[in-house]
Parts: sequence; C-alpha cells; structure tokens
Amino acid sequence: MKLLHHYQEICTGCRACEVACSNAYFKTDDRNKSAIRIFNNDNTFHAVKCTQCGECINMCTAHAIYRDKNGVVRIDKKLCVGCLGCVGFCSEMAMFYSDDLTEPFKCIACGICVKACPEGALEILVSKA
Amino acid sequence: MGRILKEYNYTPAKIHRGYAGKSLYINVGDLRIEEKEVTEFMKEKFVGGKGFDLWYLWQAVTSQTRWDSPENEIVISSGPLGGITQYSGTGKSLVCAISPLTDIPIDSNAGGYFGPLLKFAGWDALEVQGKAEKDVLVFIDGNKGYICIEDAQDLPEDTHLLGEELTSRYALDEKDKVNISVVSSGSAANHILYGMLNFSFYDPRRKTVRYKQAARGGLGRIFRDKRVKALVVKYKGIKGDTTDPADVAALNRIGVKYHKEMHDLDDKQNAMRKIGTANTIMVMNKYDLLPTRNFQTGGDPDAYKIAPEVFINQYLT
Repeated sequence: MKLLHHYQEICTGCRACEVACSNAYFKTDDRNKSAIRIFNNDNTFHAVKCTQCGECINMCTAHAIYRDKNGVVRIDKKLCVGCLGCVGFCSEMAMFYSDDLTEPFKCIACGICVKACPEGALEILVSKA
Repeated sequence: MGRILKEYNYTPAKIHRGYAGKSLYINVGDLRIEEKEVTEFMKEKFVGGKGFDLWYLWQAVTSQTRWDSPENEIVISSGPLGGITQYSGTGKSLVCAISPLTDIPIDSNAGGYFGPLLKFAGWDALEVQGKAEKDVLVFIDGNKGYICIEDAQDLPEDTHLLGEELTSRYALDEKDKVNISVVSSGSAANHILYGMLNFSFYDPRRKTVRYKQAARGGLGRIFRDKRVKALVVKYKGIKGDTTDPADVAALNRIGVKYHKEMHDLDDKQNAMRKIGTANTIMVMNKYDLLPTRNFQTGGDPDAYKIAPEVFINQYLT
C-alpha cells in the first residue's frame, strides 16, 4: 500500500506541497484545490491528507470510490454523482471539494508534493499490506 | 420486448433552477403522449411535487370522478429540489390520485430514483390517465428523447421480478443499471384497494434492484386498474449541478455540513444508517404509538421482540 507520510518535526509550513499539488492536478496555485493541506498549530505544522483508510469506499452509494492495486483509494469520476457524502464522512477531513468541480478530490499518494518539499518532510511509504 | 403501441420523440429540456419547464401527459387508453408547459403561475402557487400533482389532478377530474374512472390520474413529480445529490432525501417522488380507499385525493411519496430521473429526462411531472385494454408499460429515455408505450402482457406482474427484468432490459451493461428506475405495483393490487406503488433504484454494491414504496392511498390499485404494468425512466449523467442551482457553493457547503452531522451523530442518535425507521419501534411502543392488532392498540408487551437491536444483531449483515 502506498501512503503519503508527513514528518511534522521537519515541516516548516512553507506550503510548497499545496502549490505543487494544486498545480499538478488543477493547473492553479490555489490551496483550496490541493489534496494536502498544512495547518499551523502553535508553530507545529500539521498536514491533513488521506490516510487511505477506505471509510469513504463503504459510504459511497454510487459505488464510485475504490481501492486500486497499489492500495490507494481512488474516485471514479464517471460514476461519482457529486453528493459530497464522502467529504462529510471522512474522519480525517481529507476528502476535499471545490465549487468549480463536480467531483471531490483526494490524495492519491502520487509523490508530486514529496519532490516539491524543500525540507524532505514528506515521503511516500510503501507497505505490503 | 413487447409490441410497441406508440412512440414519441422529443428534445429533452435543459434544467434551469430546478425545473425542466415541461411536464408529460400520457393517456394509456387512447395512447396519447403530449407535452405541457410548466407555467410561472404553477411554480408560484403550486411549488413542490405534491403541488404540481394536485394542480394537474384538479384539471383532470370532475366532481363525478371516482377512483376507477378513466380520467382519474396518477401524477408523479419530484418538485424543484428533486435530484439535488448533495442532500439525501431529494430523491423523493410525490404521487397524487383520487384514492380507492377514501374516494378523495390522496398523496403518497417514495424514494428510489424515478422522480429525479424523470426531471432530468425533461419532465417536471408525469400524468398517467386513461385505461389500457391490455397491460402496457411506458418507457422514457431521457438521453435520447424517446418515449414509447409497449404491450406488457408477457412481462411478469410482481415487482421483484418486473424490476429486475426491466432494469436489465433497458441497461446497456451493469454500470448502466443505476440510470434506470421502474415504477410498478404487483398482482395483489389487482384485488385489494390498498395496493401500493414501488419505485426502484439499482444498488451497485448489492448488485440488485431495490424498491421504495409510495404506500398510502391505494395508488397501486389505480395503477393496475389502468392496466399499467410499469413506468420506466432512464437518464445517464447526473452530477451535483444537474439541477442547475442558483448558488452551488451554498448547496455544497450545507450538503457537506449535513453529511458531517450524519457521520458524527447518527450512531449516537437514531442509527438511521444502520436500521432506518425501525429505530423508532421501542419509542413508539413506550408512547402508545406503535400500531398493533390492526391499529386497535398502540403498543404491545412483546414489542421488545422486534426492537431495533433484534434487527441489528440477528438480521443485518
């Protein structure tokens, strides 16, 4: 299984990851369209991103969310009806939506933000499970 | 497939602010299929599925009309909020007719996908009037803009068979089945006045057709008296903005809030997602509201045997 991991103790909160993510997927420099969001809690930087737990797979009545062969939770945009149920049901608050888009979006552990991070605070972990 | 008795081609209306702006009239007796304009007057005075139903029913009947008169109408509409995917519950179809049980207009409603699919197919309401000589079905394809009335004598009569068969018949493949909804009754409604209507939706997880009921008022009896076996609608392409809302940002924001509240609170409160309205059984029993012994009593000492926990522990998987 592939999973994006964030090293809180290294992160400086520069948000290069947000910029890289929104640029890669939506060609815009807009943190509201990034699948990773960095929050500052008293100068400790906390990342909200998908843990690939799959809770959303079970709640999706359109059956549009699935786990791919790498263990990554993905959205089939053709099947998604845009109910945003998965956004409200994500315990991590890591399923995102934008009013410009008809489907929600999430981290698919692609690693683009890992390359963009100047501090090396992000890593794609690969496990067999 | 049964013999096609009547075909009708149309240009599906573009949805604007929750309305298609047109309604569909079908007479299964003389095989007439007509379009009607949805007026600003209707939207202003009779807003909502039930309002539109009653408006059309009022036009259709006279003071002499009984439940089994040919001019009695079954009218189905989902209203302007129907089909907003962000809000669960907007899949409802409202149905009105003159009831065989009360001899006056009644309304009932059901979930399932029929109402929203009907709207997205271009029709804010569907009137079914007249009486067919032999069993018929009505099929509406909202992507192609095609309607037909077909001979349905060879089809099974009961919903559990009919829904599966028609969903498979009109779907191109497994994934297409979610785009189809069937309204049907069943053989019991040929005999009893309180027959109901079933509104289908396809559940891709269980890989089966499921049904929601418009159970009040004996609508199924009227449906079968008209010799209608099924109404089928198909529409592919639903998204969160298909209703063309005025403020999609507000819709999304409130929709997400609503889902989040369900996620955080439902297990602690009514457990609707686990058990549905059966969560009310013991509360109703305690407050003398649980209909028992054919409504003679409002509770029963044995009610605990059908408590929500019994369903959860013994029957739900």
